[in-house]
Amino acid sequence: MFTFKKKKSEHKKTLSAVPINEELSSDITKSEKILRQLFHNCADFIVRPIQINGQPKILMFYLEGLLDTKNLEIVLLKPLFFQGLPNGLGEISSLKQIMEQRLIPGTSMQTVSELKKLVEGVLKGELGILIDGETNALLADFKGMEQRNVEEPATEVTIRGPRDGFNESIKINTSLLRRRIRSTRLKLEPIIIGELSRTDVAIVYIEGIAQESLLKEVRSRLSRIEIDGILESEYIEEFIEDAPYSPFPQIQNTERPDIVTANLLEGKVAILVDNTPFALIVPMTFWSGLQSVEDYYERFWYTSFIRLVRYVLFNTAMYLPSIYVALTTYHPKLIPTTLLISIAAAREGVPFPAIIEALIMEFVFEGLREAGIRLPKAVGSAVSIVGALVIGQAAVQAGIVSAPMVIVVATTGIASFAIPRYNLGTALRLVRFPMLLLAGVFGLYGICIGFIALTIHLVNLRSFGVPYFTPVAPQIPSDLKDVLFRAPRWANKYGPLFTFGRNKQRVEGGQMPSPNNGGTDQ
Amino acid sequence: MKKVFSLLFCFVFLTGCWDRKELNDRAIWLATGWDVAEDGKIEISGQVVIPANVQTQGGGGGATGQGYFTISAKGKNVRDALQNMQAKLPREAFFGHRRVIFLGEEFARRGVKDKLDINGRSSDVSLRTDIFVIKGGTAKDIMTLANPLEKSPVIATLKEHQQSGGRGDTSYLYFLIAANREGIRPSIPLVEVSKSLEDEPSGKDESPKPKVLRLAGVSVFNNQLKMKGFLNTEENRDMLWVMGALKKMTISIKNGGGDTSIDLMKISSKIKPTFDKNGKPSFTVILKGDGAITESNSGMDVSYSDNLRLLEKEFSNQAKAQVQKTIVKVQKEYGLDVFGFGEELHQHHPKKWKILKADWDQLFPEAAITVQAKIKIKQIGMEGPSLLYKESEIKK
Repeated sequence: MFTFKKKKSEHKKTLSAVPINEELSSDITKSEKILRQLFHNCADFIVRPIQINGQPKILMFYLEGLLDTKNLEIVLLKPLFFQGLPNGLGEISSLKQIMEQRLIPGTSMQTVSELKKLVEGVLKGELGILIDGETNALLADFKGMEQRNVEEPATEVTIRGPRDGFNESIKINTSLLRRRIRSTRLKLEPIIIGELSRTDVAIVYIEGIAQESLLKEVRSRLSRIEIDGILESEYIEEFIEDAPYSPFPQIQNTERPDIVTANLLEGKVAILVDNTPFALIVPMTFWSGLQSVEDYYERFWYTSFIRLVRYVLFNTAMYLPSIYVALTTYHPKLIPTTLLISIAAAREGVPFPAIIEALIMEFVFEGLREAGIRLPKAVGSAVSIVGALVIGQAAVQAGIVSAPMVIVVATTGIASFAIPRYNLGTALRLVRFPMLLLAGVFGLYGICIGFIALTIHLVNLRSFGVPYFTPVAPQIPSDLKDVLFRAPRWANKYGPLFTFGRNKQRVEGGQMPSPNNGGTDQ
Repeated sequence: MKKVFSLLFCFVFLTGCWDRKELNDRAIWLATGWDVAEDGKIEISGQVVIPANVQTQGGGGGATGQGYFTISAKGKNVRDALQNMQAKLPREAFFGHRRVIFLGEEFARRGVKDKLDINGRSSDVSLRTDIFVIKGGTAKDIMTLANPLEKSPVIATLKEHQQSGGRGDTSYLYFLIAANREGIRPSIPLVEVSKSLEDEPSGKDESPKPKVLRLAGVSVFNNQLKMKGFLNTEENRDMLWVMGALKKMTISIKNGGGDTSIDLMKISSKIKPTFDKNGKPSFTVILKGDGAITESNSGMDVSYSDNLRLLEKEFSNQAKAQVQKTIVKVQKEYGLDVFGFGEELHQHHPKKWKILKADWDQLFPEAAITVQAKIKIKQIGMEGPSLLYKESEIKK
């Protein structure tokens, strides 16, 4: 701990060796020298001095690749070189003014007086312009970084619903949100995190819906982060979650702007991070981990049914292997006789105890899954074939594992993939193993102990002050409308109590479609 | 924290696992037979599943042999006999799925009071089990009897019992309840060895006309749990009806030119105890049954409700006569209250019962028991009159 602190202060000292906090001087050669010193050994730093007949010297500098040079040429350089300076117009008195008002009208333009701000702007990808004799520098936005198009997110696919997803640029991401909520109440508070990466982070919320206490908490937790660089929103997640040791995710992440918007409307707060398509949403509840965005795009009957299926599958994924092991090794009495005989028949000749068998199969399954994700696509199909053949068929025929165990593990695997939030699914897979061991050692008693421990843990979790199991525990009957099933939109007037409150409505009452209700007279 | 971890360590590694047993280390025991052996010993026989032979998976040669084998051993009591048997059995006998108990006739006659405790004591064994007395035979004999339809023949017996509307796998429970109450005498269903084709010599096990076990009624036990006699299949049904344990039953009556049958589905009974002037107990049994007409060989058009009322009355009379006869037979022949009239008395008149219960075996045969039956026809099937009758012959 102590050594870490020491290191940090040393780090700061080296940074402050360059006089970065100074004001800019009007002497262009001096400024150039300072800049060159700062960008020493940066091969992508380009400086272009320009002098046009009799006018003061201009210095343009930028970082290669962060800037749209073609645009720069058309908008700025060509007119400057070929048309020359407009003369005879009295109001234009200086080169700076020409730059500001004539030549770069389309792009955003900023005047800075501090060296620090100038450097920051250049690092962001803006064009810096210094003019001899002026104390202020200009920053023009010619940003043209290479970036991915807005594509359908690969991790959250829907049948019905918008197909756009976030990409790595926070500007584009915020624009996707703004397109959905055209209100001045949609606020984007910028904050920069990371001493070296200087990553743009935005706290997004809707004013008047998101509760001030929650916002305050988000701001304070974010501002406490001190780290050298942020590469993904997970970096931030780990600093701001409530229970850092829990395997369960307490912050939702998504690639979909529609999910973020829906949550903003419910009074939640989103955190967008530059350079990653994954936005964070706080607070998260256990149930939102089991909800897919498509739940809100399909008819509510179907959604309610699918939610039921998911809850069943969640428990299947968590407990099925454990229950199988517990029942066959400790409580065969609980299995119906005919089923018991067929399981016994299948287990005939299997050399391992059921618990070892289950562990082997679960490990192999996890291995296959991992290999399937990591391997290049071309090899991936080979893995699945080998996996299916070796595990599905050969292992059973060779008598190494029993067929019912394969069925159990396969069912469990499928069930764990049916959980819409990937990170909740991973938590589940992790917790399954201790549960399996408990079942192998104590039988059903162990499963009960595991279940109780897990439940205690889950109801104790909080995400930004909201209990993880809301609205089931603590129970909020009106919020159950959107958890156990999905009530039709006209029947669900409020958002979640903890984030939305009850002093406003999302939907006006009495909108159920019916012949007596509105409609045109015929 | 260290303490907590060491505690957890102890929990995991010092406890648990002690009763862990894989399925392939267990011998799944489906049925237990009890017989008398020489020198006051008992002989326990059992039917054990051979999992490898009941394998249903495709591939491989498939099952060739029998799905079960039988094993028996003698001993002073059950555990002693089982200990002797384990010497012949490579896997630990697992009684959790014991579905049926067979008692040899001789064993039942000598009394079971001091023999059957093991069935309730072990946590493994389920009380939900069927129990039979073998009429004129030993349990060991019928253990080897195969059934062509079921892989395990004892389950066939259990299914026969359930299909014929009897107590099924609650038989042993009924027996236990009766055994430790004063107002009811126990009864145990009865089976006998029969043939799939009546009145023909049976072939070998693999032949199309094998020997099978047949339900043969019920055996009646006295207060000391010694078997005293049998009731036949019809009387068994009547008895179960009075007890309220009957699940289904068919009644047939002579009706004009042909006969008519009703299949009863919803069956219930009620017993009302009263006392006559001399203070002697008497009972009214009210039998109820809803059913469907499944056969009507007379020309009666059962789509007319008047005719249905007529039939209902006749069915009721038939049921009444039949049940009355059985009750009288039990009273006269055995004098044992297998119906549980005494329990009804106990529940309705607990104070008087305290005086009566000591002499119940003497009082029961003299009790006046009247039977009322209310049969209702709920369905008549696909046609009104039988299609075999001409229009002019149909009684409307």
